Amino acid sequence: MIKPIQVIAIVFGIFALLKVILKMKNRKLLLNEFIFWSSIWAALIILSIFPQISEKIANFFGFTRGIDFFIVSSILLMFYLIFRIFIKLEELENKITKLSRSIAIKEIANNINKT
Amino acid sequence: MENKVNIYVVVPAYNEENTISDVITNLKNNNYKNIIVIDDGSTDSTYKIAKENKTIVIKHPINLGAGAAVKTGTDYALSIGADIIIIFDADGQHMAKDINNLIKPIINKEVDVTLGSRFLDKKSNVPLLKKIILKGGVVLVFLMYGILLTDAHNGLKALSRKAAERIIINARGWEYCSEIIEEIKIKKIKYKEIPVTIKYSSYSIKKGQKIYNSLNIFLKMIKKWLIE
Repeated sequence: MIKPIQVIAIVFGIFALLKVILKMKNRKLLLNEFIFWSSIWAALIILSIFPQISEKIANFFGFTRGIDFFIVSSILLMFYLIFRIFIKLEELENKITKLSRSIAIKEIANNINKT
Repeated sequence: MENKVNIYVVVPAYNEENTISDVITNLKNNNYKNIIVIDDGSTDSTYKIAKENKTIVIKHPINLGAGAAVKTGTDYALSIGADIIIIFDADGQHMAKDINNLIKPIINKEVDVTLGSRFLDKKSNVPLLKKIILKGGVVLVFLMYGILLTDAHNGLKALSRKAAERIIINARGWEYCSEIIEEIKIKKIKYKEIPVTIKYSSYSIKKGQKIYNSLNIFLKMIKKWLIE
């Protein structure tokens, strides 16, 4: 019997997957990003349709319930993604700083040449 | 001999239209003519006032932070042949006459970096809360870098050309002070603390580092430590 939560997860997964495919079509995603996100949403859909699979995987890793495995792995994945964003942001800020500095120094050099 | 030494004063300024003019006049009256003001994307008339006072003014197109401004200033000073670089805050809390004491040990080749300290003599009237926070910073710097200073977050510093070339500032904000200390430690640069006076006007207290800022610096130091 299909539970309401499964339906919600499947609908959400399909919606997200469509969004990813659409973005790929408009060339807003890189290939590796596309593979990463589409496999995540595809996994969500498959595991929602066949919860037995998640149960099997969960048992393999030592969880009794499939949902426990699902939540724990989601949290881990989220932490990893947040860390990636954190690093990326740091890199971006560094780049902006360097860019602004070179603009500022270029400007002063131009001003001195003029006078 | 002193005349041959090119001394450049780097003044990082962010929205300091009330004090920048006095700071520049004070420096000029003490015979420091090579002044580089870094306008760190101010939204007030800091840039205009600094320009009117006939200094070199470098303007960041956007606000980047004190550390970034200091780096821009030192980079530029090095590129135009500075032998000694002074870092001097724009909020009017430093005294230009203290600079002489800061550069003497560098000219005499005793050390490469001199750091101003408001706690080495009793002239600065440091408010109690400020003192507690600053001493907390001292303990933190000691724990993280193993260098025991009396005043770890003083804006007034002097660097020899050699030191300025070796010290790499990556920090964008106020945590650059701790970063310089870290660089001194890692690169084994000779340093010395010199007593300086900090003027506590109601203005500089308002503008100066708040408790929130200190916490922020602490968090950024931890972040840096985590990433690297």
